Formats: sequence, C-alpha cells, structure tokens
Amino acid sequence: MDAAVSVANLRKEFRVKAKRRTFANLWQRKTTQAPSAKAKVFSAVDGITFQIAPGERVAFVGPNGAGKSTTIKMLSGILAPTSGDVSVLGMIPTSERSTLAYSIAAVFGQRSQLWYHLPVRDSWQLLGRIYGIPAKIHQQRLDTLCQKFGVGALADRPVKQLSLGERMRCELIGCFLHAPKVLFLDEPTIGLDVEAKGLMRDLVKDMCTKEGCTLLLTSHDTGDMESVCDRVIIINQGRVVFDGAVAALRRRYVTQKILAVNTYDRDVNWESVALPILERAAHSAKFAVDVQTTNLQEAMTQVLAAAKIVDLVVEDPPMEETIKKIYAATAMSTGA
Amino acid sequence: MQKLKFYGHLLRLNLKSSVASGFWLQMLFMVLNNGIFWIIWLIFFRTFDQINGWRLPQVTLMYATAQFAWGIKVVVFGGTRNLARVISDGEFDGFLLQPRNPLLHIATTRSFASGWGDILSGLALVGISGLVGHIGPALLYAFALGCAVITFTAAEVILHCMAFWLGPTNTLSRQLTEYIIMLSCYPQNIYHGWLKAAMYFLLPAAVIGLLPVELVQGSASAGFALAGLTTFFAATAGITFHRGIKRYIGA
Amino acid sequence: MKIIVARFWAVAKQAFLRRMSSVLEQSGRTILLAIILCVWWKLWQATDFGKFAGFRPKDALWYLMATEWIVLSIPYTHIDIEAEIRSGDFAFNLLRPGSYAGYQVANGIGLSTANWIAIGVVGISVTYALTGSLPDLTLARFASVGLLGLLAAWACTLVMVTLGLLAVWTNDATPFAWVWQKLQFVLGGLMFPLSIYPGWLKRLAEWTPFPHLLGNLATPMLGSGEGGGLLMAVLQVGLWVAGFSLILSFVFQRAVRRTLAG
Repeated sequence: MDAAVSVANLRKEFRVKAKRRTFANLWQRKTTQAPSAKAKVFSAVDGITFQIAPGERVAFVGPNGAGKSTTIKMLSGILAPTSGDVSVLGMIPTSERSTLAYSIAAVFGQRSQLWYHLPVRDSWQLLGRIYGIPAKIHQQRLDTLCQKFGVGALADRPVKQLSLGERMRCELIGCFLHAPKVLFLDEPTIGLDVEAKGLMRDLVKDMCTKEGCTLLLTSHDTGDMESVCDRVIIINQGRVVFDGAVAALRRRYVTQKILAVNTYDRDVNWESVALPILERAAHSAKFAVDVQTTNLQEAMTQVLAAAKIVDLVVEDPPMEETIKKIYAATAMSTGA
Repeated sequence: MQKLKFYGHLLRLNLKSSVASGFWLQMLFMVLNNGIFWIIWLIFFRTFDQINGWRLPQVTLMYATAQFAWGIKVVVFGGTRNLARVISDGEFDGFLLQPRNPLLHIATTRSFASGWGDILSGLALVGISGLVGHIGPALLYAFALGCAVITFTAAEVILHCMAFWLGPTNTLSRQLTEYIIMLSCYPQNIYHGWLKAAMYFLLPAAVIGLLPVELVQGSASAGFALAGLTTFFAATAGITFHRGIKRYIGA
Repeated sequence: MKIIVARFWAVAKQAFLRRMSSVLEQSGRTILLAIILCVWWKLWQATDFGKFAGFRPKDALWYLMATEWIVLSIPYTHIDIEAEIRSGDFAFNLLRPGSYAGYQVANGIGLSTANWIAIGVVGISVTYALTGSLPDLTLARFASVGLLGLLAAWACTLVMVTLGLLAVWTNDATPFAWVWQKLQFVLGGLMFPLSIYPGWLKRLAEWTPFPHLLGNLATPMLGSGEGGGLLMAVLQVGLWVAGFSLILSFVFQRAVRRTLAG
C-alpha cells in the first residue's frame, strides 16, 4: 500500500537578518547589535525521513522551535522545502496544492476558519461551498457530525459567543465536512480545560478511526499523544530522535517506576528503605525505583516492611518527564 | 458558474456579517462625510470659474466616481484592505490550504458597511453632476465605473503585496492606498509631464477620476485608455501576487 | 496635584518620544502633507483667478500649509480608545491610578507635539520650495501662528478622546470622527479662508469651534493684515479648551458608569 505521507531527507533553512542601528533606534536608550553583524542561516528542519501509512494516527512531538510546525507547513504545501522529497497522497504539496487541498484539512492552533460575527451554521455552509460538497450530502454529513460532536444547540449562535472548547469542536466539524484523507492538527488542545481536552481527543480518535483518515498531530501535551495516537515521532533541533509506537517509547525510555504508598501511621521513618524519596507527607510517600539497577519486588518488600501500609501503587513516571529526558539527551549529544 | 455562485454566496455572507456590526451608523455617517466634503467644491466654484476647463459638473462627476468605485470595491472586495496583515500575520496559510483562488478568496472575505455610504453618495453626486442623464453616457459611465473598481482593487493589491517582501507593511500599504483615493478626488487635468504620467501609470488617479469624465463627455480615446490601463493594472496585480506566493512559500 | 502633573508629564513625554522614533508614522503624515501641498499648488496655478482680488496663489498655499499643520498634528487617539473599549481593556485600564481620560489626553498631547514638529519642518520646507518665497508677515507673527496651531491641535485632541469614548455606547467611534473631521475641513476653512464663503455659511461657521481652531489662526498667512489680534486668538482657543474639557469630563463619567454597570 502506498504511504499517505512520505518524507525523505527533508530540509528547511531560514536566513535571519541582523538588526542594524537606525535613525529610529537613536531615540532608544538600549543599543542594538554591532553594525557588522551578518545574516545567519539556521536549519529549522535538518534532514528528516519518515512514512505514514493510510489511517495511521501519528503524534509529532517536540519542544518549542523543534521544527514541528515547519514540517507540517511543508507537508500541507504552504512552505517549500530547501531540499528533500515530500509527498502527500501521492502529490507534491507545493506544486499540487490546489488539488491536494480537496483531500486534506488543517487546524492550526488558535487560527479560526469560522466567521466571528455569524452563526456557526453559516461558516459550515460556506466551507461546504468552498469544497464543492453537493448540498444534500453536505446536510447529511453536517447532521451526523453535529450529533456526534454534541453541538446541535450551538449551530445558530455567533462564533464570538462560544467558549474555546465549543469553538474547537465547531472547527473540527468544519474540518471533517469534506471527509479529508489526511488531517493536520497543530496544537488543537491548547488553552482547553481538562474536560474539553478529553472530549476533543475522543472525538478526533473516533472520527479518524471510523473514516480511515490519516492523522498528524503536533502537540506539547503528551496526553494528546497517549490518548489519540498509536505512533509518535519526536523531533528536536530539526531532527527525528524517535519514531515508533507509543508503547515502544515507554519500554525504551521509561527506566524508572514510582512506588506510591499510604500509611496508617503518621510521619513514618523511612530510613530503612534504600530508595530515593520523591515526595513525603504525613500519611504518604513516593519512591523512585530505577528498574535497571533495582529489583522491583525487593523494593516493594522494603517499603512494606518499613510501615503499616494502607495502599501501595506502582506507577510509571509522567510521560512529560520521559520526553524531557529525550530532549535533554539530544541536546547533550549535539552540544547545544 | 459554480465559482460565480460561490462568490455570490460569499458576498451574501459578508453583507450579513456587516449588518451584524454597526451597519447603519457607518453607512449614514459615510454619506454625511462625503457630502460635507463636496461642499468644499461648491464653495470653490462659487468664487472661481474653472480649473483648466473643468467646472463644477466635471469635478462633481470625478469626485462621485472616486466615491462610487471605492464604495463598490470595499463592499465586494473589502478583504484586500488588510491583505498585508493577512500575509504577515500568518492568516494567509489558511487561504492557501483551501481549494480556491487565494486572491479572490481573500478579497471577497470582508465587506465594509461604509462602502454602502460611498455608493449612495457617489450615486447621488453622479445625478447632481447632470452629465450622465441619457442612456448613452450612462452606459459609457457604467463601463468607466467598472474599470475604476478594478483599478482601485488592483492598485491596492499591488501595494499590499509589499508584505511578501518587506514584512508587516499594513500601515504603509493602507496609507499609500489613501494617497491614491485622495489624488482621485482632485482634478487630474492640473498635472503635466512626469506628474501626469505618474497619475496614469503609477498612482492611477487619472484612471479613476479623469478618464471616466472624459469618456462620458465623448472622448473615444479615453475609452481605449481606460480599457488598456485597467488591463495593465489588473495584470500587474495578478503577476505580483503570484510572485508573492512563490516568495511566501519559499519556492 | 504634584503627582498628577508628574504623571501627566511622564505620559506625554513617553508618547512624544515614541512618536518621534516612529519613522513610519511620521513619514506617512509628512508625505501626505507634501502631496496635498503639491496638488493644491498645481490646482491654484490652474485656477482662473480672473478678477478675484482676495489673495494670490502663494498666499493661499501658505494658508493651506498653516491649516494642514494643525489638522495633521491631531493624533487619532479615538481609534486606540475604540479598540480598547471593543476588546474590554477599557474596564481594566480604569483600575490604574489616575484618570483614564487624563492619561489619554496626556498621551494625545505628546503625540500631537511630535507630529507638530515633523509637520512644521516638512510643511515650511515644501511650501517654500513650491512658492519660492516666505509669507508676508514678521517672524514673530509666523511663530505665533505655529504656536497657536499647536494649542489648537491640543484642543482637538480633547475632542478625539471624547469621540473615542462614544464607542462605549455605539461600539464604533470612527464614523463620528469622520463627520467631525469633514465639518472641521468645511466650516473651519481648511482649504481656503472663510472670506470666500457665502455670508450665511460664514455666519453659521462662526457659531462653531472650527474656524477658531483652524482658519482664523491661519488667516495671517494670507499677508493682508487679516486675522484678529493675538490675544483674542489665544482667548478663543482657551475658551474652547475649557469647553471641550467640560464635555470630555461629562462623557467620561457617563462612559465609566455605563461600563461598570456591565
């Protein structure tokens, strides 16, 4: 089967001009760079390669400035690569953008494609006309999506009156109206509360699964990655540092477990437990267990022997910690 | 046909949107704004007889055409007014991602209620000028008005395309557009030499103000000049925008 | 009182420095002035002066330069105030110590002073280059025209702030500013002096603030010894400043009450 998205040795370089001293700056007390400062070239994306099969849901994770948004822009055709090959649904995005546009959809964070002053329904209708969806099919699809996303009551309200969570659901409906084959979501849950995030993730996963839509999701929130996607590509400083299943990420990088205990007694003396204490309270504590050097069962035995235990739980560290370690490891290896 | 239907739908949506936000106030005050300014010409011609052969009717028609054309432009193609900001703020990405001509799509995305005021005042002043009373001049005037609308739009697009190369130029682009509007409201037959050439080929005030008046008064060459210059500006706008997209995506 | 003056001075000074360093803003206004002066110079030269004995083209251009010096010095503070009201920032800005209206007036005065300097330099240079001569009045009188123009611009700043506050009720202050501006152009005698107006329009204009803050101040540029005494002009500008201040105070109090009521 042909890949839905195929990227080979993709590179993107930007030139940054040096700021010079001008007449306007004379009125300011702070000085700017030396007049001799030259323009710099920096690589936002530095030779990445990957393929995404049709229907896959992939998280594209990385710190700020890693190259995630730049990559998404090159895949959607709104930024030309400096070098390398990129193909989406068998088309070259920059040269076949108009044709490709009918088969893809994108939500870029806070940017809206809905009309601010008008009822949401009007925006959906306009999108139907933009994508040339026949009126009957458009209405059927809209009814189905409104029911699924639970926004029936919102359809006739102006966009400006919607909360962020409500607006994002309406944006997603706008994306799915023309049944895209590839969906790019750039920070879709940013600014949403916990409940709204959970709802968004369920809806996106469900829709992509049902419709066989390929998903590429960029996010700082590892919850998005864990809840929605099966595969994660981690990018840092323009390079891929991990590409594999979310489960494989855990196995490879999670070298620590957390033992969380609740005790009957107050302020237990944990001196007999030879484990680092992460947290401590009157009736609870958390210990770190390096599973590469310490047997987990022995660690549990130590803790059980040290106090009267009400509850003991073995947890994985937060995925954020894991990702941070990966970023740090990459930074060290590149000397940044 | 489907494309026309789409842009028609977009126009209806625009009107709905502008009615939702202070429509009547903007329209009424723009009519007042234009009417009050025309009084300056009334006072001028009360004392002075003519400006290089032009009298109050000619100047009124010139001023009316500038208002009328600008009004139609901001109602139908209001989106070009902030084109530079759309380009420099990243909103442009959204238009590139959709399967429609980005320039036309951006242009028809906004409509300003004040434009209706310009249309109304323009129409009234055309009537007051007394130069477009019969079917012949009226048809010629309609043609000239269409050319003026296209020229205004094209000139604005060219000025806003600076953003592709220079970054956030919205304020500058809008100011330069204001200069064209302002120059269109003064008789262009006062210029000679290179200034006159500039009014035709650089800041197309003559295309919007002078040529429509001359055409209505029976000058065939004015008609040809209008058609030719309008095509020139429209083509320049299209080419500049197309080059701008290439620059934007780094191709 | 000391604190109020210090605060006012700090805001005005900051606005002044900010505008002086904004090359784009200054060049926008000064280029516009240069274009207007060039256009009207061409217009006056193409006009059939015939038997008209009121003034010469060069006097008319110096007159226009003086009126535009005032008009182009006025800052568009109503746009910023309108934006703050629409975005909801207006309510938050009321939490700051000191009067919001006072802050906007101080800001406007700083901006208008910076504009006045740039417009004056460019206006005098361009008009001299076009006409080849200076206006027929003494240096002291010329300076008084300039300084009175600055005071008039400050007075109009009060109006711009008041108009901006109207957005609390209408959400859109720009249409009011358009009409004010056009009335200023016509009844104030922006393009040419009120002496060529029909009698009834002249009388009507005299009942409005516009000629006292525009055309009357520029009339000495016509060189015919017209224009009332300096003291009278200062008194008239001062009276209008007092009047506008009262109106601004009233509108501001109502705007605050309306905003806090939700």
